[in-house]
Amino acid sequence: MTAVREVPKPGVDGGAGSPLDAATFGLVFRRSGWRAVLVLVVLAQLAHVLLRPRGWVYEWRWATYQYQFSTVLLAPLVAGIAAVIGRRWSSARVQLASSPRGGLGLVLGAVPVTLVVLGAYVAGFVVVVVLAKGAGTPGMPSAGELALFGPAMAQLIVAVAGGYVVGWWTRSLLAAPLVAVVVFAGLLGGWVGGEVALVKVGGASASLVGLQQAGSVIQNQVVFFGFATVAIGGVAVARLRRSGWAVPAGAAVIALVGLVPLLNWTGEPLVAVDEPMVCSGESPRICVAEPYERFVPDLRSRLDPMVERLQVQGVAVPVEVRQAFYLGMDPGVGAVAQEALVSEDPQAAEFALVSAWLHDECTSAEEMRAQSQVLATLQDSLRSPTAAGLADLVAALDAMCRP
Amino acid sequence: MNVIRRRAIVARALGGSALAVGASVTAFLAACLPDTPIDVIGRSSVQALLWPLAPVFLAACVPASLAWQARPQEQTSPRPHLELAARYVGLLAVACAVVVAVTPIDHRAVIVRNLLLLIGMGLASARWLRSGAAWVPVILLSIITWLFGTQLGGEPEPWAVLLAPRGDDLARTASATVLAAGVVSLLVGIRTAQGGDRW
Repeated sequence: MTAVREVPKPGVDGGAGSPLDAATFGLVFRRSGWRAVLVLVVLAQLAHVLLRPRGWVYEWRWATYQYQFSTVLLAPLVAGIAAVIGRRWSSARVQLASSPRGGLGLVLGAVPVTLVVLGAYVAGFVVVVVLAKGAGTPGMPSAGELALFGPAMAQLIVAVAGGYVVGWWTRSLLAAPLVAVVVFAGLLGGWVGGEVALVKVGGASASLVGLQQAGSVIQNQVVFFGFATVAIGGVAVARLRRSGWAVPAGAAVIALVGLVPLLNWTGEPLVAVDEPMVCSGESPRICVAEPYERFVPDLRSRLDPMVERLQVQGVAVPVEVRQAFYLGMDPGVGAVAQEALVSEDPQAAEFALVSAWLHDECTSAEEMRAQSQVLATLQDSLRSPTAAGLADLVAALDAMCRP
Repeated sequence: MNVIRRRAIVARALGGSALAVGASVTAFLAACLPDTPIDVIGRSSVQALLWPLAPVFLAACVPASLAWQARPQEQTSPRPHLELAARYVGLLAVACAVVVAVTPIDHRAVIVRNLLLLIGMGLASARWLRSGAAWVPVILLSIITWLFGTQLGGEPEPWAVLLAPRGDDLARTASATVLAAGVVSLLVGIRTAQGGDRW
């Protein structure tokens, strides 16, 4: 008679081992297709970072916020991938349903993809850091800026949970594309439908000097996405176990607490912030946000020839040129846009001077067209060392649209 | 068994259910798409970028609808693979017609062109990728086109053929080429599934 030795099998209720021992988790991880997931996520992140405009490399707040925009690409993708894994995991449905720790086994199936996605997401930020440091941006992101990862990662986790549970329940090959399209359509719907605070965890096409993501929005997004994940997972586990509905019900209520303020938020989830400005020099004094201080000498060298031309012709130059930001500028102060500040093009700096003589009162199309014509002529004249009549052009521009 | 019931069974066996779901959901999404300008900061003509991507879900269902190729009864089917392919393409054409029917006339030319390109991609993906991953290229191309396919002024990037205007030669050529590659992949797939002895 042959002696048979009992070998504990790794598995969700595997033999004598704990359901979460290293062997079990290692087996689940190896069978999860994590390499394919990792490759897809890394490619998606690289596409996002490298294919979009990279004006953010000079400013940590903008860089960090813009990086989170990649969830628009990543969330549908990982939701679809999770649906595939959920469908595959559902082949163990009977065993899990009859196991005392089947609920844990169900959740365990989604853990590898979640870890890989979050790991790749955080690691992908290294590319952003490298690009920003390569552009000479001083310092590193602050803790407040890194907090922007919270809502983004929570959004990815809820996308994984949703996709996984749909794949698990439907056991259909259609689950993955359906979930991916629904998540993408939901994100787009939020963006174009006015529920920006609900779906937007990052993304800015211009400098965030003077702005930051609202703290309350960050908190509510984390609460909503986090507890929605618990609710989704809890429903799946409770349905499998046919008990324990209190957990998903409670989580859904807490998720609603986070959801309501997000639905009530109007417009972009950004708030004004007191931006420390660094000022230097005179005629004009140049004031920029701290991350851009190193561009001031170059800006001044581009402005000096134009300032000289204006002074020679008796035009009083603006007292101050300030980095333009979202909340507008004071009258008589020149505004320099971030793009002009970091550009080496001398012509990009012209607007910093002439904007001091523009007035918001020009509102009709006819007034704005006339203003643009004078503005263009003045900019042309500023470029030419021999141009005359600068004083007349400045006076004409300054007088436009005044009551 | 009457003719209609028999045909329904054949249609279902040839992935008709998946195509029906694909066509229904796509038609619903298309019906929800706005045709009037939407006020989105930085993307003033955003509605113009939504329509070209409308066919994506139907195309993403194509790999799932081709799962019948892997069934033992199809692999040993006495029917010639060309007949199977023709029947499947007929079902696909009906699904496409449903989507096109709910599309406003102004967008139909672009929708048809993009539908053909994405379906070609779906057919090819079904042949060359595993069933769990075959939907990815179709979805990924559409999302990447949306995210990266426009220049600052709103003009489509040269590679973003899905966003190209009606009559764009490059986009037409791309659609025809990808569709042809997809149909060839379909035929090769059926032939391979049947053991390669029925050319």
